[in-house]
Amino acid sequence: MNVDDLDYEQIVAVHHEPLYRFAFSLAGNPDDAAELTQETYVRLLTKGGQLRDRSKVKTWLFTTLYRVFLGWRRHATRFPHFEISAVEPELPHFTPEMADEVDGVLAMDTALQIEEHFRAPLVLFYLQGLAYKDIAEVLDIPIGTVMSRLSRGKELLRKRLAVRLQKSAAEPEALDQDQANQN
Amino acid sequence: MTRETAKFILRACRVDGQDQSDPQFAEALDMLKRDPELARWFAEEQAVDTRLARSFGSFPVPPDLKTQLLAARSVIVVPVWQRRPVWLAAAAAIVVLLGIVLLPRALRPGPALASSQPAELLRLAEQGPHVNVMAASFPEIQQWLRARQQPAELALSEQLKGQRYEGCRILEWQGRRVTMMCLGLEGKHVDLFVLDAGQLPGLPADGQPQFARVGDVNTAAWTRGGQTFLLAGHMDPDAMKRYL
Repeated sequence: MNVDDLDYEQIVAVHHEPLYRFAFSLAGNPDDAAELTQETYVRLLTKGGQLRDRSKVKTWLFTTLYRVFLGWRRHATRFPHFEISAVEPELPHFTPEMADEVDGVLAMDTALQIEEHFRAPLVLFYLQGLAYKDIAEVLDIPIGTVMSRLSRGKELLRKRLAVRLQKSAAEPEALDQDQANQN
Repeated sequence: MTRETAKFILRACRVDGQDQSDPQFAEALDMLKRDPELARWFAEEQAVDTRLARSFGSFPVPPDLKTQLLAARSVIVVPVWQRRPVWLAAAAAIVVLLGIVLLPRALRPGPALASSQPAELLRLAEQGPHVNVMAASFPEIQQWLRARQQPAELALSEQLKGQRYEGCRILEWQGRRVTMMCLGLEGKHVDLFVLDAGQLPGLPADGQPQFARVGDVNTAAWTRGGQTFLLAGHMDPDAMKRYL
């Protein structure tokens, strides 16, 4: 199977946005995220022959992007490592109503505050509705590990979102300022 | 199964209902029918997940990214030496194995010959991604190189600098970083490597190019301005000369 059979244009149309968002969640900046996405599609063009099963395109793309990222990280120090604080204050229960207040930038920005091994499965879960089995394949980790990282990652994300929403409720400009500082 | 175990499993359950028939979730999903508190928790968990999935899905994507990706199809050309038929690769593997077994000690690694080094570099370029970044022009490539602390002031001819480029990559070879640029010359895909002076020994100091054939690829190597260049592609050496 070559890239002509795979209908490159359609693959770009369907997958480039979630791939970019996944790349951003790994790299933490738009330039590297775009570069990671581009490299993934270059690999599809140059090595699409490795892909035997058309139904696996989505998993192949996410797996390839993640491996490219790991390869770059081994040779570079440009990717930031975010460490979480060990102290987690008591927070209000995170409700669907609170989730309604979360936009894409706040969600991504907050995810970037979480350690990468929790963040990667979490973003894959939310982004493209990847099943836990696909996430295990993309990240090359056991299914049980995916489940525990998803469970913990969701908890961490909600706690941090709750903190930021609480902060913005107390000081309405604080959230905007936080996001401006990140950019 | 305890309620906490069920929660642990159900947190991995997607909101679109695709996992309802997955045996991994069967027991936990069944508990929902018998445990109203767990059912309430799960309904809220899915409601939050639905909203967060929507939030992540609305994270902005650069508007020109799709155009760039689609353009890649017209500029990225798989190097011919990566497209050899399987039987040829198998035959090559057999030749290599025979070589390992039969070659006398005298031919085992000694000082590297200048003529073997282009082949070594081309083999290295076959591994990994063909390019790290797509770029259409020499100035774009320079910008990308500068951002990676790689030499960007290259003593290339104006003919080469003015070509349409496809992308760029940084390789590690002999413990040093080598820049590889991909471009089209007269309709042919060529790769241009930039090395530190002396990495390809035996080249004349006066910049005269040395031509060699590596498999079915022609190469030209030359030094200029303290840099060594290697051009490789399916181009006639006489055509290559026009760009050096």
